[in-house]
Amino acid sequence: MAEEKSQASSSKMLTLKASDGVLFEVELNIAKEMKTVQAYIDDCEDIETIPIPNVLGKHLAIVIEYIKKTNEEYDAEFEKQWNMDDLQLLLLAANYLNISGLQECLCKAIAKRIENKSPEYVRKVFNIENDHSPEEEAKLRKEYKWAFEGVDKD
Amino acid sequence: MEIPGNNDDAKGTLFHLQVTSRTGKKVKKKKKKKKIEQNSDLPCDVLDIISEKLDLDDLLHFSGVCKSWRVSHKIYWTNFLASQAPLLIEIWCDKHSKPSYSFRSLPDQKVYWWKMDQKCFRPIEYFTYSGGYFIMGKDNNSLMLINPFTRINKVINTSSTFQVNLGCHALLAFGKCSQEFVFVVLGGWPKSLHVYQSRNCGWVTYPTMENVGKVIDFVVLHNIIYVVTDKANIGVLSLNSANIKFLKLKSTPNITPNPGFKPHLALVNCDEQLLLAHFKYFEIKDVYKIDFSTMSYVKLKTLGDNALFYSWDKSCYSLSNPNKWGYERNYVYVSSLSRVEVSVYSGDDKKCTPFLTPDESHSYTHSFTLDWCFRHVRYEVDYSLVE
Repeated sequence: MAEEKSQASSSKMLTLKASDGVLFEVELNIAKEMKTVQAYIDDCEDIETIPIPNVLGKHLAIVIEYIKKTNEEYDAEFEKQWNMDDLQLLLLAANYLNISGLQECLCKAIAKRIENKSPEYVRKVFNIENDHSPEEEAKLRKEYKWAFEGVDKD
Repeated sequence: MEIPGNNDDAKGTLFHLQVTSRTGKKVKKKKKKKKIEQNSDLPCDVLDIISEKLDLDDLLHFSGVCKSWRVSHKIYWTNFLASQAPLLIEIWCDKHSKPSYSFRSLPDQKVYWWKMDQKCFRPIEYFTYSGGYFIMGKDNNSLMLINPFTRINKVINTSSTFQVNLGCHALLAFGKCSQEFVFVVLGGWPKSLHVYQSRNCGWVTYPTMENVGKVIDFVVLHNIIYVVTDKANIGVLSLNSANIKFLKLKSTPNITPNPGFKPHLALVNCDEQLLLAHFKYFEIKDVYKIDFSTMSYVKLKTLGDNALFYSWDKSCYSLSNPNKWGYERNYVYVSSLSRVEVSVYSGDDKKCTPFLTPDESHSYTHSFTLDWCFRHVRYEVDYSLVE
């Protein structure tokens, strides 16, 4: 990601409009890290304000900050600040905006948090309904007896 | 190395078949935090990326979440275990925690993690992978067989026969159409050949005959266990008595051991043919085919449409049609401590080039390559075939 920009292009600013109307002015090279935005710019070169309908202002702010500051150290500390809900929403944002680095970082973080957790915990995290019958559930636990031992308490 | 387009190996698309299990009813607001959408369901491709970062146990937990995830998981596992693509088994040792094992696919560098729950098993040493099972030392008196993918495990006590120590080599084979198994082990001190049969619940030590040499490797071919000695003599292991019937073969290669080093000979089942591979350190020297029609060794000029995979002092495997899986035909891949050495087998042009170096970006401090894992290989023996 070499940031060699001529004076002219690095000073060009773009406005991103979050779903709740919050506006962000960002430099072009920052905006271009979001491949979705890049595609937008490619389509219509003169655009100045780009709507981001799927992302709330507070999350867009975090995403932009990430792009500006990302490096190994920052990434390692970054994910610790957010709770699971925010992580998922940030991941949805990163997915929509098509920022592979952030997506990877957030996926790693979520994977780390569901490591060694029970299926019930995972259900709560992803908001999934358990449609197993009690008999099926018992059978599952029996089949994978060793895997379920030593699981962290929820 | 190109990864072929139509790779049958199920890579990562665990949630490919996910159907959302939620019905149309409203999402219960369990938490006070607002969600911008009715459901914050992460899309399948994102769930796939997350699942790729989970180890094998966590993937199992994932499968317990709901019916559709269980179905996806089952399909994933069936494909995973049927895959012919070789995996490299590595052990990662972090100063601060217990060692973990990983299965790495070299062409695409995809890694499957397995943190063995040491509370349950406490193994001390990895010996080998055979017939779908990790063979590990549990303590000085027992060996443990554990299937890393299904967690089926069995502990076999050896105290009456031999002490488990460094450098055990083993082979696990199942009785044809039965639940019985045969466990062949080179172990103890001095190293001897011991065979455990589940149908007898006991160990038998096979005596060494000095003139034919000491057994150093074994393989199953056509439901029979063949062994080879350090003098390149090949015999059939009897399962009904402590006997090895050595074959009378012509043109036995003259394996002169280097002083101080025993020769590295390995038997290979290559497409239902018996091969003998001769290694010198991490390089392949020669490969011979045992021609049963003429009862002689025939030195091979080429491996044809096969590649060989070897791990020092462990088993040697062959992979047919290797290009399909991202490997080269007529090549030999040898895993050694922290690298995989690759050499081409043909004539004198046997260059050795390191292929894989440890992944330095990982937080673990050290990794060692242990062995090759061929998931789909399962050995079967027919008790009636050998006297």
